Amino acid sequence: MKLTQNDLRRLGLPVLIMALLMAIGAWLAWQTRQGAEQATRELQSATDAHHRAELRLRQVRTEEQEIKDRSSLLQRMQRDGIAGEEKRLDWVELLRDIQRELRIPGMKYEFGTQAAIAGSNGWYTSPLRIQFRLLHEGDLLRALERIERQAKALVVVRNCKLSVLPASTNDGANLSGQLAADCEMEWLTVRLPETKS
Amino acid sequence: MIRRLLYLNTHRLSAYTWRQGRLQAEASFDGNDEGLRLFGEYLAEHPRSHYSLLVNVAEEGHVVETIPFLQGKDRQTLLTRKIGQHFLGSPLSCATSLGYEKTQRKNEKVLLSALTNPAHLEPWLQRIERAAVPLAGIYTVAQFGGLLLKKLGLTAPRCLMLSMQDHSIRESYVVNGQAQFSRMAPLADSSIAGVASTFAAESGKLYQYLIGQRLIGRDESLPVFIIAHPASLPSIEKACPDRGSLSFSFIDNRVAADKLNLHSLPDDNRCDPLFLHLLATDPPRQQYAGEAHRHHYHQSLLRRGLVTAGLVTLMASAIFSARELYVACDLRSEAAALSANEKDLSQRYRSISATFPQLGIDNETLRRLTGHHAELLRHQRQPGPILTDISKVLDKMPAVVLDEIDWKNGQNFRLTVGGHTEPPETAIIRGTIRLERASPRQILGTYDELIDALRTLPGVTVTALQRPVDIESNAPLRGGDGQEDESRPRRFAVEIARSRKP
Repeated sequence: MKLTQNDLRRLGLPVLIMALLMAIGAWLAWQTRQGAEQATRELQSATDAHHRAELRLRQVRTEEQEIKDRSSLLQRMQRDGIAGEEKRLDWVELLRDIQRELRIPGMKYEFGTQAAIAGSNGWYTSPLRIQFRLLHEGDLLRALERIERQAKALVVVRNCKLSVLPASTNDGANLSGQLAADCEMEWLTVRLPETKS
Repeated sequence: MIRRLLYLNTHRLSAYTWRQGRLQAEASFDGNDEGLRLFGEYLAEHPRSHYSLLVNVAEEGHVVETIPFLQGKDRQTLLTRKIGQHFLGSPLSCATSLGYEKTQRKNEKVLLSALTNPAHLEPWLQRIERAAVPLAGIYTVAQFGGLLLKKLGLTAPRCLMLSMQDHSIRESYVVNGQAQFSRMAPLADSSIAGVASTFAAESGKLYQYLIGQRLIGRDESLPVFIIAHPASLPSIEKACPDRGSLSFSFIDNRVAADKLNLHSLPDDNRCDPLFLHLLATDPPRQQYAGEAHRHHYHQSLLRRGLVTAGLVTLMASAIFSARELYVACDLRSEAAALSANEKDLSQRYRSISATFPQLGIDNETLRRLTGHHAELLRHQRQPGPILTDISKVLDKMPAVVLDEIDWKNGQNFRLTVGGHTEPPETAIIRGTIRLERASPRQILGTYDELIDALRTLPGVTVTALQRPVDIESNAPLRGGDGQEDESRPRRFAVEIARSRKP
């Protein structure tokens, strides 16, 4: 069959209708396909969220007691001043109180700058060097024990050198002490993150 | 779109509509100028209908030819040449393959048919061409004889088929359902008796003609099917008893119409409604119109094909879209169910979590911080216990004078977390042994007593760092007389290490 110009002119409308119908069909198919893909993504997202919630619930059930214990511990740490910002003023007051109450003849101390503990992710240490002049070695032990117990930080004593003062020093002023102690310790605190669970 | 059927006989052309088995006459046009003009107007009124033309004229020729095994253009060229030879180049012709000979050459038997007086059709075809309406094809009544018998379940390898149309009798020689010869005999007497006698006479004449043409053998028996109105059948049966090689069978044209699902039953002997119905429902593949006559029909098919392609695409798209919508709906309902379940789980999680102290941190962070706290706590140790133990030992040994105790909690490295071993504590004791007028042996004896006493402490390892009198072979040993050597202070150093808290 040979098509003339007139034939082609008469085929114009059917071609247009076909193109229009095909375009509508393609648009319809594309739209619904997009909808189906979106629904697939929504399902995947819902499945992931459900899985996470299920896992979280299962975990919280099995670790309920553990979490309660750990929460209590953290609350205790907060109460004891271990968790939170450093309270250097409280620390200084504690040292002064200990010196006064134990009647320690001499005491010098120096807190170093705070630094993060490697790999701890939240724990910080402030080094302390403290020097005593003592009448009796028992005073050192009591002082150290009170610091560890009462400090608003977790205190780790690293070293202590206890030595007898030379006789010439003792002769002059008995009240200034017979023993000298030079101790280093670390005052540890932890900062809580601000994110909510 | 309504399908329209045109029926052309020697005198006039009739137009019919066919709808669901119902044939309805629309118009009739005489073969004069007025009739042709009216026909043109009729076509102009229905430009979108598809037309099929059924012709019942006497000028019709059929020839069986044998041609070599050919295909494609060569075959078509040969067929055109053969038609030209037999029918003087009539443009209204067709060729029907009757099969191949079972010889090595595989020659093909072809039935060539033509309307030998195209001038009779030409004015009508001109009007169709001028109106630019689609003409599906031109067919003859002879083409439908075999088809009618087949539809009625009357099969015979060779038979005669006689029917009445207009004022004529159509008689066809049908072989394997294909009319290989057909002619039209005028009907002089239209009464029932006249029709019956014409059927009887014409069947005999056709039989003799076929014998003469050697299309059948002289003694070959031949069934004859006559189709007519039930009112005429008794007379026809009476006029046509079986004779010689001819055995007659009679077909009620109303019963036949019913079997063909034609709802417009014939009112008389004429069978053209049956053939028009067959033309509408089951047109033969072969037809007589040339390409030029069917140009608008092909164009119409093309137009319809384009729109149908669009509709099919839209339909397929609609089916696909419906499936996608169903899938999306299914997925969304599943997602909604999961979300609801997730909300329920989260609610239960919150209920359990509400019983925990509210700290404002998540469980993982809580676990990490408190875990590190436990690790750091292991480093905590006081010098008191070991100093007390040393003091108890020294109280029993007045000759030993203490100068210094250097206590260390582990190594002096920076504090870290993650270690699992507890650091040991060490204490280095430095002092002097003071014995009046004592010999080195006595001093060393006191020192050894001290070492032994320290070793009795629980969990300690004692290491001598400096002995009060150095008698080792790898060091010089000096001495002399007098009090100077005896009064010299005898210093020593001992290290005590304890790996665990007592």
